[in-house]
Amino acid sequence: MAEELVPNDFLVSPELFEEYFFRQDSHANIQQLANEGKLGTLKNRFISWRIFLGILPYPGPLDVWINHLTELREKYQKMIDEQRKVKIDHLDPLIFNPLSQVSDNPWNNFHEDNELKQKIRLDVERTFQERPLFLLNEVQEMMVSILFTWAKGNPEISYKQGMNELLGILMFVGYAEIPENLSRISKKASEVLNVLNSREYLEADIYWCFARLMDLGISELFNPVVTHQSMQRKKPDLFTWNAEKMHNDLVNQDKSQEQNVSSILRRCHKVHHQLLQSIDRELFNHLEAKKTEPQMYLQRWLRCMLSREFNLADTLELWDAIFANYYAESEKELSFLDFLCIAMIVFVREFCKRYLVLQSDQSGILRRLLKYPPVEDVNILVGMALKYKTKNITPVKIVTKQEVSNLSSSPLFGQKKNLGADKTPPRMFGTSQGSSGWNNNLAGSIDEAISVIRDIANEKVYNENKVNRAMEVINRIKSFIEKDVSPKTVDPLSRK
Amino acid sequence: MANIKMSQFGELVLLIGDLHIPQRSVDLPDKFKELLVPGKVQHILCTGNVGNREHSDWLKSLAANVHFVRGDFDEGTSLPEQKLITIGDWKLGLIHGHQVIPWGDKEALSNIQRVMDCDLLVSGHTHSSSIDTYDAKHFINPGSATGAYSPLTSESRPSFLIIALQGREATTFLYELIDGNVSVSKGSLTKSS
Repeated sequence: MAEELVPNDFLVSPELFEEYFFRQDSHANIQQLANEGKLGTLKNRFISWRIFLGILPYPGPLDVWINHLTELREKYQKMIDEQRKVKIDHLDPLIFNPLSQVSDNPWNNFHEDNELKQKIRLDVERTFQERPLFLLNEVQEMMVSILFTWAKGNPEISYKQGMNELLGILMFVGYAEIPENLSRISKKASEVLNVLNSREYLEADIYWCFARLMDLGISELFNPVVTHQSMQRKKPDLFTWNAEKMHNDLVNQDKSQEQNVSSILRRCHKVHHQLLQSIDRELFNHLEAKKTEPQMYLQRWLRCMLSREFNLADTLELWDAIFANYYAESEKELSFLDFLCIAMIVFVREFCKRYLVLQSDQSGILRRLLKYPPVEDVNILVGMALKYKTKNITPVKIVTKQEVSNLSSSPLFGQKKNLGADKTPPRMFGTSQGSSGWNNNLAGSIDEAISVIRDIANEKVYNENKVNRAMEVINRIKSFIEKDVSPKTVDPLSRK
Repeated sequence: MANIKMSQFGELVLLIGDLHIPQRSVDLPDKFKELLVPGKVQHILCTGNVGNREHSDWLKSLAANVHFVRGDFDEGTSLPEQKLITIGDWKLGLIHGHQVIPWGDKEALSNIQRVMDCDLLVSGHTHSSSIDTYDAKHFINPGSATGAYSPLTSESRPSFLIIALQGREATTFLYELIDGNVSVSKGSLTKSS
């Protein structure tokens, strides 16, 4: 491979292949390497990823691998033949010819397919334009072919912009690791490596990686399907004075459990309202106060799996960790991606908070998040995400406005909370007017107390004053409980 | 480089020519005009002698890639005498045919094919459509799309051809106007190695 096409760092190492994959006596702990950001040093990423994704069963004898790959490759060839041949053999050419306007003409599919192909080609030509590898005709043709095959096989979602970015990463890894110089390893090992990372079947191999990736929840993120109901509901309020109120309701509401929104929205809301709220309450409150809609920045992060936020080398390292964690947990989805997103937000938290105080709107935060600052070592993010993963995150309960007004009128809280203001989101505790001072009502205090305790637990530097106030609040709660003030005693320290 | 079958997608090519509008014919048959709409084919190979600017522009509007060669009545234009077009695995040669003497003779055309080194030679001028295979290579004549007269025939059937190229296979659809109706006949060709 020409020097310019693939930088040396990304080439495959046949020697390491022989050492750790060919010989059955020594195995590399690829999961651990991935979590430490060192999978790149093994220089056999294509094989490692296929192991993580479940395409190559580990540690499996090598002939199992070869048989499995052969099967998959044949399956792919059959799929292509099936999809692209126009079935006209027994049809009367007078009616079923390429120009005929008849409705069930198989040639109509041919024309539609061509349009789809054109659409895909436009995006492929713009993928990784700065890299000469992606200007190669051969590479572009393969990408168009793979995306077309997947789109035809999954007509409900078909092709959407963003899929080309995901495929680009896979294509880079696959193409880069086609072995060139096999002189330094044994003949048998080089035969096996040539079969595993075959140039001839590269398209089929990458297709199956892509298909697997999409199956792990990523394809859902491109599914725009929303049921009719929600459309009807939104319309009438658009032009009344309630419009602003409605908008605010949408902004600060957790829609992660709602069925009548798209998958991507649900996931964005889950990351923001559930995960972020549990992990970093203060930051979450700040973002909510400034009405930062999660999907504004999370949509691209999730859909392109962070490939557009970082450079290629960093993206590969992040994907190593995402796949490794999927493999470790034998989950059904790539949930580590969510934790990485949280890590990214928390990483720039100081920036977010500072901006919030200085600026009145959310555009500053969005600007920062949409143009993510370069991180010197993305392994920091992986480390943070791993920590979050191991914490027991209990989902935050979504409370309706009615429930909150019920609670606020109960004697436990002393004074009635004013929820009439449009800016207040319907939640159990506190307001989101992100302030570091103490709120008047008890509920807000409890909130702050919890956040202080959490900070302590995270070994952050704490404020003596705040700790004392927290203790005060807790004692008050304790006395309430002991007095058993209301039949509906709510334990404020537990989250249901 | 790779052995992957890249031309799996299939392409449609329109072969048409010898319209002679307005010198020998008024216009294309209506039924042909109904069929020939933009966006149906990817390539057009025109054998020449279109007749006027208007109709060569019309042909250019039908597809993204349109190729013309010079016919004996295409004076004052800078069109090439012959053209070689590669589509997928197929190499198509295009020539009007008035240069090939005797006109329409298989052996003479075969010489041209060998010089151009194409798998399929498309020629016109005789105003008589034909699909032949000679010496394992293919020769197609789309005839005259308007049924104009020629030195060889006073009346000819209006005709044109569409070929679907997929991999090494080609399916031909010959459209003719017989007694005022369109008739389509199908054939298939394979590229010889």
